[in-house]
Amino acid sequence: MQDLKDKVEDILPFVMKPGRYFGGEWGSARKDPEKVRGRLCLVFPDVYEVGMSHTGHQVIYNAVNSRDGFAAERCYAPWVDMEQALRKAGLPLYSLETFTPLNEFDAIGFTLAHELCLSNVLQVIDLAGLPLRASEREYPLVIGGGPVAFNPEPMAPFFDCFVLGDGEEAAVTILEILSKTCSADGKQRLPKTEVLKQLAEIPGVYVPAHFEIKYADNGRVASIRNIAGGPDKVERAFVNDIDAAPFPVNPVIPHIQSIHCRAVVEPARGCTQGCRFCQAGYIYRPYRMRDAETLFTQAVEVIRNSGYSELGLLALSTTDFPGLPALVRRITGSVRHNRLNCSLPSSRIGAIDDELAQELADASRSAGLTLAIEAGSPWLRKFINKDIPPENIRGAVESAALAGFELLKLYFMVGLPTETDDDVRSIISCVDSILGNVNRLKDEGAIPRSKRFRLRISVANFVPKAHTPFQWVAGTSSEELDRRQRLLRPMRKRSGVDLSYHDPITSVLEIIFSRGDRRLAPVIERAYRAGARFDAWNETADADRWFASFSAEGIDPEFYMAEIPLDALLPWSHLSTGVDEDFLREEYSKALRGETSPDCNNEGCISCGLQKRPEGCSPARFESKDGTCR
Amino acid sequence: MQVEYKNPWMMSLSRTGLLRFISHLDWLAMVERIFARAELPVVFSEGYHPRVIIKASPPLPTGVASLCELLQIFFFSQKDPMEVARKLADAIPEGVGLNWVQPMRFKPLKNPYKAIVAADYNYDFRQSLPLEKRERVLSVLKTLIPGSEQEDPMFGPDMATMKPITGKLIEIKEHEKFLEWESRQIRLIGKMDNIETLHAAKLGFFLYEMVPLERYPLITKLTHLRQTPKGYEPVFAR
Repeated sequence: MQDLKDKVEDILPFVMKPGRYFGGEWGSARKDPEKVRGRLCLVFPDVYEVGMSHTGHQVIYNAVNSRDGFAAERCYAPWVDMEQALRKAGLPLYSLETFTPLNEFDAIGFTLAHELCLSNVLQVIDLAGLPLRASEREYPLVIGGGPVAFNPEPMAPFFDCFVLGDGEEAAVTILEILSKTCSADGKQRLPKTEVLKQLAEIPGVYVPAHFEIKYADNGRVASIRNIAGGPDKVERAFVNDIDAAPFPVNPVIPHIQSIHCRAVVEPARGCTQGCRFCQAGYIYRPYRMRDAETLFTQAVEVIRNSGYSELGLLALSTTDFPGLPALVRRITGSVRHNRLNCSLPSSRIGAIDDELAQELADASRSAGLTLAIEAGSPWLRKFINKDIPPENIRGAVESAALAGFELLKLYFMVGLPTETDDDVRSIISCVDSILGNVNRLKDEGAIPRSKRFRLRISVANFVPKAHTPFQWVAGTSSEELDRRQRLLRPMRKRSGVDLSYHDPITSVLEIIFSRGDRRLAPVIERAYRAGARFDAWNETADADRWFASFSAEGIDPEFYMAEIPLDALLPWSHLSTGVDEDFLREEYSKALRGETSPDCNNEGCISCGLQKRPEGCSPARFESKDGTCR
Repeated sequence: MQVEYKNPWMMSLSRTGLLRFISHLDWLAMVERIFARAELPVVFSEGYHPRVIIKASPPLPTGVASLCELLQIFFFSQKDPMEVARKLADAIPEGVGLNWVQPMRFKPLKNPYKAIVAADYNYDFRQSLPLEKRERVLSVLKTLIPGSEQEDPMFGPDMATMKPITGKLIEIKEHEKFLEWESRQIRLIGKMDNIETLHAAKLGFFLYEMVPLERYPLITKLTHLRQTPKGYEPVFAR
């Protein structure tokens, strides 16, 4: 290990941001490899700064390291210059904690956050000195988790197994089985096929090699069958009592500036708003809250241990957390000497009132308020089940402006199903209306005229995702996405408005792989061999390389962009989130009819499927919205 | 509100090992987090983005280790130096060392580094160089000795935009030992009449480029010095 560390040290002067490539950070766990029974290397297939900002990555790291006898270490995808340097020096990719080559671990666990990191997964496996395909290697096991694991089919040939759902308990169970199936010195192991059979019995573990997929003449999936004798459907893993689940209150603090330099607590997991485009809203159900007292204790502890001056309260819909203003006030009051800044992810408009806006303005000095409106026209908002009346938008903006916010970040999408040019242009009307409201407040003297109010508009491209009511709809082509984005350009002329888009061509790649099947694996491998890396980064993204790979493999990308028949067997039909496919189908029909579905948190069960679980899905840890927790 | 500058303290930290590869801004962010974790009553700037008020040593180039990173900070209240040292020691990550910490007896300095007159660079090649490489290193260093305004004609086009070294290189110590005994280290003492860290950056860069030293990576370490009747000594000796 020391030898590898010395060799790495020799190449660090020649790469950009060398601080990415050595560990020893505050909060990192370094266990003696000789004294642990199971070792897992957690890999985030993006650069260090991005990976270190990912909460799920730290949650799994903490969950494993908090157990005696098991060790989790970390590794991130090396940037292209470091990859070249490693290859030139003949060095394998290594873990940051002990500089152990990845191929010496019992398992390598990838966090698959989005589809544009797939080439980096192959980069990491390759740099570890392992064959890319699971069928050509034995150990370490290569395991995937995260949102992409809910349709991992394009990557299935490269992985030994996937963990669907909450991974903190499954990761430890996998390591326990791996430690039991090898000798004390770690030199003799059961054959991988035997171990995979045992792993497949863990809730949430999906072994792709156990499933045979057959395709019909029309290209659609004809049948999916478990050939290993197990169930034909894999249910996701749930952490039922999130309050008792371990949370990293002593997180790893990166040496260098990461994307989000802040401490994090997780008030809740899951969301019941039911936005029809949102994959996270379906795959992380049911809504599970942490107790307010637990959350307060964790927040104070994580701030003290980390030294950060910003605390992120991260959940899919943090503003739904009961008693949030009081909680924010209590946290900032307890650690005020740190000049604590509280930040929230994008907020639901209906939840922003004067009290919450004021509390957030007091607690988040520099950050603005982020509101997810998603669509400009009321019809389209109803279509996506985000039925926000214009008066609610006006109310939220007024509350924010009166509370002292000077920056509002607004999220919109283009490329939604049934979207017309008028729907796209209504985003401009919506922004104009917001600016008009602010000017009115200035005229009335409610806010100083000298106050400069800025709007930062971020327009994403809609990507139909597996396990959502929109999983069947056609993706929008890059040309059409580009055309719709251009309709918004007049907004740039507005004073105080910043407008940013996502790259249409990378969104198209995301659409293809988010609904892809196993036939896409050779395309990914070919693109990787041709040099595809960091496809979410403008510096390195090259769509031509990908489309050349599609051609070379004889795969038509348009097939994966097209609408999927509602009665078709989907490539991910054997993977269950707990939400019924019939429910999703009904939601899609309701969208077309212009009907909305209520938030089951407030208006009772809507029978999405999770109510059938033995544990139920009742999120009611609280009795009322005033913060009185049970 | 005007910040009250009282209870000024000075401290010296070292930053060695792989931590030499973090940038100056990242280093300052790390120092801020160390103070926060130590829960010391440090004074923040007022305004929209309150930051810990720190006067730090001039930035070192990424890759240069430091045995003496001087910091001047302010506390709201008086503290026992032993308690401060203990709290800081509990909050510093691997690779950072606390050399000393002490309250300043006099009013805070606008530029607390006026006392520093020289910088001591230690170039550690981590392994012995072959004779021809060593000769090349020394000839490069001698070329770069300030006072001789002559620019090295071997500077490539990338170097054209870089200004020639200014300031004074006082001496190259131990170079004979370096040559004769195959020592892997050389030591330079540069006078601080310019931003001395530029010298370290440029010298390290020139050595890499001109020797070349890919297989002999060097670790540069810096110690600040002050002038005494006897010569140069580390500033604020422990």
